[in-house]
Amino acid sequence: MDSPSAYLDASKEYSEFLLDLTFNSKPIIDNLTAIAAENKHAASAIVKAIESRIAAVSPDKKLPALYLLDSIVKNVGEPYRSLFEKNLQTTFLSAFRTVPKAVRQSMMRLLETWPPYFGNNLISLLKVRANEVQKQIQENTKGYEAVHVNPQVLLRTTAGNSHVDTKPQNYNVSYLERAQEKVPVPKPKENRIPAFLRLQQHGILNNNSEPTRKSSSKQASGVHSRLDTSSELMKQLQVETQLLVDTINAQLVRGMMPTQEQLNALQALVTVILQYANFNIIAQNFVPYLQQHTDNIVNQIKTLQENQQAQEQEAVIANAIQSLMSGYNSQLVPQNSESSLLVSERKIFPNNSKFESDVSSSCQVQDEIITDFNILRRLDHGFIVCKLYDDLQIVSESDGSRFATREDLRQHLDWLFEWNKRLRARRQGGICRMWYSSVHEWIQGTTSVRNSGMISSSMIFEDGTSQINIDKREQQLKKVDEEANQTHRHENKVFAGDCEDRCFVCGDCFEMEWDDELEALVYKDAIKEGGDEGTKIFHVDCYSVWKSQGGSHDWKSEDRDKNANEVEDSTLENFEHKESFSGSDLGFEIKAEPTKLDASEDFPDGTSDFPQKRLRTKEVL
Amino acid sequence: MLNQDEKRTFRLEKEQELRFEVSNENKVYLTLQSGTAEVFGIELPKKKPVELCDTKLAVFTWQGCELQLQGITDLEYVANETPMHLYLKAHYLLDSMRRKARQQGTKGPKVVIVGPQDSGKSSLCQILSCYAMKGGKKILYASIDFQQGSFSIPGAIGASSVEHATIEDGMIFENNLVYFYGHTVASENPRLLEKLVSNLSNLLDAKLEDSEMDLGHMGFIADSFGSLDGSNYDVLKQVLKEIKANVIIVLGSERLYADIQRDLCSEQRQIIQLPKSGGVVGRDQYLRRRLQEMQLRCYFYGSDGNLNPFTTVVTFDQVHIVRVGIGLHVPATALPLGAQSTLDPLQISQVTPSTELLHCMLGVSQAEEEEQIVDSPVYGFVHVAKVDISKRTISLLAPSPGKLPGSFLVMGSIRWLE
Repeated sequence: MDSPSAYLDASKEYSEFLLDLTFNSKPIIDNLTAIAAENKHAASAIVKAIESRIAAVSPDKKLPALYLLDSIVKNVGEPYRSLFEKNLQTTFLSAFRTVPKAVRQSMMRLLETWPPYFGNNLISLLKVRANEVQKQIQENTKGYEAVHVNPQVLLRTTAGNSHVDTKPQNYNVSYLERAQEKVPVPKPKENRIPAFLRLQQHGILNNNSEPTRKSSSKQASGVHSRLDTSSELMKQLQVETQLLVDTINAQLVRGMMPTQEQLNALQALVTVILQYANFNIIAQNFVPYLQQHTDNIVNQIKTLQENQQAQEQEAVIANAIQSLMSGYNSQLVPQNSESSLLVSERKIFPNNSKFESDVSSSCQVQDEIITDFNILRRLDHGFIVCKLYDDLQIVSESDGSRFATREDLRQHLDWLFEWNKRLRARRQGGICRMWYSSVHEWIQGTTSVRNSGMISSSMIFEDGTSQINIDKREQQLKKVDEEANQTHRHENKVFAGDCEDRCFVCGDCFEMEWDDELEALVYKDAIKEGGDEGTKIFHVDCYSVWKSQGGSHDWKSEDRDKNANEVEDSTLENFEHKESFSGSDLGFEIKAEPTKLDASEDFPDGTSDFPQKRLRTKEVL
Repeated sequence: MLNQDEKRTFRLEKEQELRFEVSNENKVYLTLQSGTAEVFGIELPKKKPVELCDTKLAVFTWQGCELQLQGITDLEYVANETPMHLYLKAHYLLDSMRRKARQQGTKGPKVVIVGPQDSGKSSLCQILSCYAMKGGKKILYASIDFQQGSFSIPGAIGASSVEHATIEDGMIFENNLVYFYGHTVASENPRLLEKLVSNLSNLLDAKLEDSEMDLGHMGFIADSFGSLDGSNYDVLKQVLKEIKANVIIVLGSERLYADIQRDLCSEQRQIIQLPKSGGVVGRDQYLRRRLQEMQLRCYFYGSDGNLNPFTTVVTFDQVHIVRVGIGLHVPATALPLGAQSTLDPLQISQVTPSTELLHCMLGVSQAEEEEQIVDSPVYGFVHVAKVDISKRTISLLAPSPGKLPGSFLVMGSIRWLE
């Protein structure tokens, strides 16, 4: 080739022709063979284009590309034959590893026709290798089937394992995604990387898929089988990685940059394997291999990049891979006591140490913690649905709520019972909205009875102190006692118009004044005694005189004590009791004039029947 | 017209949604026959008919289900495309943060959902809250949506810890903290709004700090007011800062997302964009007004009309009616060019009782001194039903009986004709 760029152009051009070759079509293959025949000067470029095509396309499109190789070798011959021969082993075996069984058989048949062109030695070697690969794949798939297709296991174990999460799978997902995310991939092309495809097929990327559920169930049934599963997986990943490394190496040897997709896939695989290396022996043993090869690849990419400045993306991925590896090393530092060397490596890749610490910390948690929405965006959400539905097995029949434990359900049902009770009360019209919480109540989160909003008569006559919290109430009670010692005024305020407006002792009229606390007009300096039948009012001074003369039994202090005790649940009955008590004690006939007052407008019906109720004061509560 | 008793069965595939609307004259019974289904995050019980009235609902299924509808609906259809999977992922993100908080003993994510009006903020809020509550957990819910007032009344913001939700009533708020802003427009007094949000935020922090149980690790989810084409963006920005949100979910507006990304992007803050659901129905000015009135009616009488409010009569001397930031309703455009109002937007001024008060909603402040008014939440709201100048009394409609729990009544611009 004259120059690297001309070489690349030819290679690129032929790659474009190759895009047509998606199925086994004789005309296309003939056409492509003819082009190859006409462009023998660009033979090496064409050969590389075909080889990378074989390596890169999805398994179902590999066979046509191999047929093209076959056609060119058989019809055009040199220089193609010798060029293909160089990499035949890699080209053929890499493809062989990934394709389905039927295609493998076709490939074996193809191999049978090659000895005349490539020589017996090479072809018989290839055959031996191909058989080995076939055996390996069969073993792997057997392992997979054993795990996946066993509904019995699923049935038996799902009930008990709701908490054992699909840990390894979650790992895979996030890290594959993360790896993929590091470099913006233009758009998944039709020739998606087999590694990814396979991972997806095996339910690694798709956590909702049946196989994964089953395998996770199987894992839960015992540590042993869990190891089995991850070992199977590991073997599979190992094969994938080897294949990819082979392909990339093959390209690099020929001075070709691996494609972004290939590098992305490699990065993803390396990430996954490194995670498994924490607990899986196969993965651990595989690390040295990875180290050696990735270093090799990265270095080669770097040298290549120096020559051709265009390929920046690839270098970025290469760096990412390298940092992955070194990150893994630094994780092993304490064990291997090679700290000095590795610390320096860490300095070189500062971003990566963070990344790695994520890996190690998340190894200990049950559920993957993903705090990057962009990663989540790419994940299949099936496993989240499982968390919300299948993991919460205990379902409340009455309202469909789900719980993890019976205890939670029981608590919920208790609440539901109360709630329904309230709804019933509500329908009967006995409920009002309560005032909102004060700051203190809100912070404390005390759900008091008052919040139920059930209307009771006590609430109505509480004079709105319902919002005073308990502390305040106690204070208030103390205050009541103190005040009560000074004067009985508050307990004995007399509502204007309630009864006769003259003092029982001196016979003078009372002055009227507005009382803020009672929200009503009251007689100034008046005191009242007696029930409905025998109410009498006095001036405070006259009252003391009258009392000192032994006029009355002192019921007021008694009543006060009683009120203090019955703060919470004073009801109409109490009043009636009081009234009859005092009424029977005193034989005075003073005509009561129950008049409706402003403040009583909001009382329910029957207000006028209980004019004495207003004797109660705020402080008593 | 459908026959009233006709039963329709809908077989929903995975991740489909049945949407239907029921007018207020009709009743519809929804039954989950098999599978699982949820209504805005609340799961339906199996084989139990749920009675629905005057509502627009979306029944979503993650795993496929069979639903039965009975009764007259205005509209019913099955939708295939929903953004639910993204909402679910948003939940997982929050869940991850909560688990991380639990491990590290820190506080959970402080989530605020923002978006234009009618983008489904409240629905998303409910979905995320209900997902968080699954398994019997408790979460703090905050509402800084003073426009709609679904939490309390229009013009109010507040917070509550939520533990339960039912399909008929949605999330059930039992221990509520409410601040009264008094307006339904952010520009009326942005400084007051910011002040109230900052007070609310402090109490939210205190609640997260104080939480005896898991509440602190759960963080909170807040519903915000609708941003109107950027006109109240500056207030929103300030409010987001005041509430110390560390996860901002932008619903259905790329422009808002870009703005927030530009202005509020920081290390500790995640800004997530989610699409709005196709099921969200737009509301015009008239409907909005009607909803606000319904919300006010609901405060006193309950959504089903089964609550009993009480009338209280107070004299002019018993209460102190105040207004925060008087004179601010002179719009900036009415001032001389370049001039700025020199009035303090947090200034308290007394309002002399007059017929001007008629039909006003007043917040019953928890303040004991006049200076505390701006920093105090309210006990609730009263409606001025009658002002009698000659007798110097005001008739107030209060939610519960007895004397008013506070004497400072805060006036805003919210009026309601019962």
